Amino acid sequence: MGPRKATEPPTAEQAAFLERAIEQYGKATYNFAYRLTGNEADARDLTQEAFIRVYRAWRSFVPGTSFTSWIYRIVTNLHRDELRRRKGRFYEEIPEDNAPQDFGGNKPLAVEPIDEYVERQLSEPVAKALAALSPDQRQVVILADIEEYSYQEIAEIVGCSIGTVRSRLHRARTQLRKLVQAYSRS
Amino acid sequence: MQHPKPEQLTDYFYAALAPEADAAVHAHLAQCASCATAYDDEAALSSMLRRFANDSERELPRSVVDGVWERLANERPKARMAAFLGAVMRPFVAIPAAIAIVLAAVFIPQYAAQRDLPSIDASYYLQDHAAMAATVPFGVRSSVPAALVSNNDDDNAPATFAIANDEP
Repeated sequence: MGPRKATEPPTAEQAAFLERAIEQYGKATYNFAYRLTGNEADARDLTQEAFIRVYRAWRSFVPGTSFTSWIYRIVTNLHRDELRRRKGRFYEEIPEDNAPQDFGGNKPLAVEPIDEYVERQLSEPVAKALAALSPDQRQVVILADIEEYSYQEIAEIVGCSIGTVRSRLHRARTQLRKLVQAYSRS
Repeated sequence: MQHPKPEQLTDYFYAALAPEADAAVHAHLAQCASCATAYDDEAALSSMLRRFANDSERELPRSVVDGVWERLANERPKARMAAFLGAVMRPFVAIPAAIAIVLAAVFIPQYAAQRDLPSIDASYYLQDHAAMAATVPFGVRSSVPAALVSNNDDDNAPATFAIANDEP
């Protein structure tokens, strides 16, 4: 059976597929999108669009393969398209005053528990360093270190060769190490 | 073995080296303190990233899920229209429909034009025939036959004719 066309009327099976996909992979997809984009608004849009694509192309999914890899590939492609659409504006680093809102919540500092405060102080350089990487480098670092995919899997998700993954990852890690040190000092 | 290159150490960390190279790096790290430190540095960077990921992990906002279903609900009428257009545009439907449209475009104006023609009453033909008879060149009489002369002076009145007996 070929892929179902987007124009075909939805079925109960299709809706059930989407419901299960959101339930099982929604959180992981949202977190992946959040780490790629570095902000909640874009992560929400990206996640929403990704699940709409899943709904439309649900028959393209091959049972027995990794759904996470499939949806991460969708997210990666959507993110790349969005970056192209914005013509590089997205490559800018997050502003200095944006980090607490994005990564530390919006609680007032006076009532923030000390362990959360310390945690935020420790993770802030990493967040900034990740945000300062190029989107391509950020993708491979997230997929390799946070999602723990192999080079082969990353190549399939990102849509490039294993050699490109290897060189991109190596450069990203070198850059990341420098950036984390720089942000930790500042 | 010489000191592995930084790229090799990264590959070793991700278990992406070929078995022989992997074994060689493994053996080298056991006896080279500086390379072991570099490897620990790689591992520390990864664990720092994973810790950051765990710390910054968040729940999927309900608004995202609601937004997905809402968008799909809004798209369904459009999808139905697209499906209808898709069905209509299939060749076995579209070609006969196109032929019907062309035929209609040709014949309907003709039919309409015929319907618009003025109707002519019978007296018009009778008057016309009388005129023709009057101009027949080889007729016995060149003038209008008396038999066909209207005995009614009123031009607008219906024509009535008397058959005159002009035989001698």
